Amino acid sequence: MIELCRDVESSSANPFDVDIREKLLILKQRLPELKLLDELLVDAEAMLELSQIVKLQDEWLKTRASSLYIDPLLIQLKVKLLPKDALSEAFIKSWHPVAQLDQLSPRGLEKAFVYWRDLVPISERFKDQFGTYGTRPGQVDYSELVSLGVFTREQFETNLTNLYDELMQKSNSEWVDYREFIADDAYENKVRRAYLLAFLISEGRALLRTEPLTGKIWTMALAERVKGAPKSVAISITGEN
Amino acid sequence: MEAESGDRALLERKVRRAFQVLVLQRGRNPGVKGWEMKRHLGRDFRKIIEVLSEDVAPMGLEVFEVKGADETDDSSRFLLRFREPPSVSEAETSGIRIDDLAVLAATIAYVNSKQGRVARREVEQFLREKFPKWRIDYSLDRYVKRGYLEQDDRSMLHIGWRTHAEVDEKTLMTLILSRAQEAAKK
Repeated sequence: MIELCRDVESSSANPFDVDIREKLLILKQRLPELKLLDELLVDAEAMLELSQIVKLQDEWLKTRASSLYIDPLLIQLKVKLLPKDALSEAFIKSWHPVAQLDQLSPRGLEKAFVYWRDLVPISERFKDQFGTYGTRPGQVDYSELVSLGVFTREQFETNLTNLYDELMQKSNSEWVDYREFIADDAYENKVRRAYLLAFLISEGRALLRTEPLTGKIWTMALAERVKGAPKSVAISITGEN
Repeated sequence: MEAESGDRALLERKVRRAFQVLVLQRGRNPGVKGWEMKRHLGRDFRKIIEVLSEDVAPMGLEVFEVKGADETDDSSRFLLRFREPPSVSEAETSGIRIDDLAVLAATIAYVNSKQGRVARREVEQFLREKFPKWRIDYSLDRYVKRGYLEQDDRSMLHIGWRTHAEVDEKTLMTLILSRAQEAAKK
């Protein structure tokens, strides 16, 4: 019964297709058998849906009784026959546009000013829900790392030379996988190797090649330092291997 | 004599106030609800509106009432609107697209023929014989937003309050039927 009512409500079917008297009799007969709360709730829902159908029947009768009712098939046919400009002309000839002024009043201007004045900056607005924002990605140069105590100048040179030797040995004039080369169990070491390798590449002691389609990155040590137009490549270093 | 001129001045002041209230848009939708009119003009606001409607007639305007759902004074919406429809060239120069109006005209006619409510997908299917899909989607959404059509939570389309306010639906239906006959004869 509920499904039937809902089908009628969500389509342009004739609401008089639902026999309200018959449905009410059924509900009346079943009511004494209903004991559980769930059953009573479904019964109430059925009553609600039936009342919606009665409302639709009322509207249906009002429209049908008005002079606006015309057989839908006839309308479909007529609209099909009419060119677009004739349809719009019919509309214009029955149209009485609303006349009004759309303007900003002094009170509206004041409200806008107060809103803007009290508006919290966007960086502060969602702090309560999402907490503070993390630091944006930035750049750290060699001197900064030295000042932070991550490297001493001697250590850095030694580490750079060691990494160069390692790459030279592994690549042996062939391309090696960049990610495999910098891989390390400890994330910090991985970042350290990537940083040192970036330094070697910038100095022209190693090359870097990217394959945008596959996402592969290759590197190779050079026996002699080369000079060329420098290019920047952004590579993300994650904790995954 | 003095009392009479005092009444006249009060009436004029109230008529002027009524015009200002009606012509300035409040909120998103045009028009003023009956309860607001009562607040601005007092209990006899209908008399004031009648006078105003006569006063604006020489300018080609009228005050029009759209009855609310419960048909009470408070729920009625009052609008200032064109007394006569604009000419086709006037409507065209106001930047309204002929295609958009044709979609609205066909939709109003179809919804009315279906006892005032029809599933949106059914309207879309009906309009697709004449208009491209993108135009139908765009126009229907726009007219729902502007109050010419209403869409309920079951995606059923109804005639919106703005159509009741601005469109003489009986004339529209008659024109569609008669024009179609002329087109068929040609």
